[in-house]
Amino acid sequence: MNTATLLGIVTGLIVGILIYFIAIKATSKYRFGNKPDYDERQKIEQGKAYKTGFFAMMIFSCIFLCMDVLLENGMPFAPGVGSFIIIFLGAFSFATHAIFSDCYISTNERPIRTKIIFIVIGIVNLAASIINIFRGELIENGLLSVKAINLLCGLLMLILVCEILIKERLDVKREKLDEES
Amino acid sequence: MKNLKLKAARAMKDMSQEDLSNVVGVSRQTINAIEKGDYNPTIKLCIAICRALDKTLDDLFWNSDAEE
Repeated sequence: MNTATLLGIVTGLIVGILIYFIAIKATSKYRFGNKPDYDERQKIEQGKAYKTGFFAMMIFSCIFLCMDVLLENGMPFAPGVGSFIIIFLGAFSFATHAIFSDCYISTNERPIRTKIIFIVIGIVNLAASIINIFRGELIENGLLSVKAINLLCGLLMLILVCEILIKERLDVKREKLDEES
Repeated sequence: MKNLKLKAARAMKDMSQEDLSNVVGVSRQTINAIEKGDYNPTIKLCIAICRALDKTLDDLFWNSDAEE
């Protein structure tokens, strides 16, 4: 990793932290109180979701390790990218389980705010990855470079928004059916 | 097993699942899960639901069929 990339990562982190504290912390995230308020069922479901995420990471770590040994030239990733992919897969498994068990968004949280934040993060990351693709920096020396992390992060965020929207649609349909029966 | 007593008591009070969940302080899906029998609430939540619907624990959560 060269100095320019390292500086880019550090700057990105600092800007991200600043945006978090200025844009997110300054506005109220919750309808009441100042911390997420999960009910008892949601806490139980979250435990199951964390377990799903943990096992997903374990399974993908084993798969990646086996593939790295079995493939002649190892995995087609730059050093460190594989670890990020495993983390993303674990986070995706956790979030998917949590969203479809209704324990991702707390009882006092504004769902619209969560969706907007995810969409913004997703678009910013995808825009950065599109620039990288046009510059030809996504793949370096036949390996998926560190810059592919933007693409993965952007895709993850937008997929989670889609999952939240699908869950909301399903909930509306189920609610109608429940009230009718 | 579905909790039809809870559903009936809620309907008698003219409350939706959303209304009851707001009074009790849980998510609507939790109330839905209790009514469908997918989730067994703690005694603390049972008491909160009973208070919100002006019912006793026996009225809403005691299953006399199971005793027999």
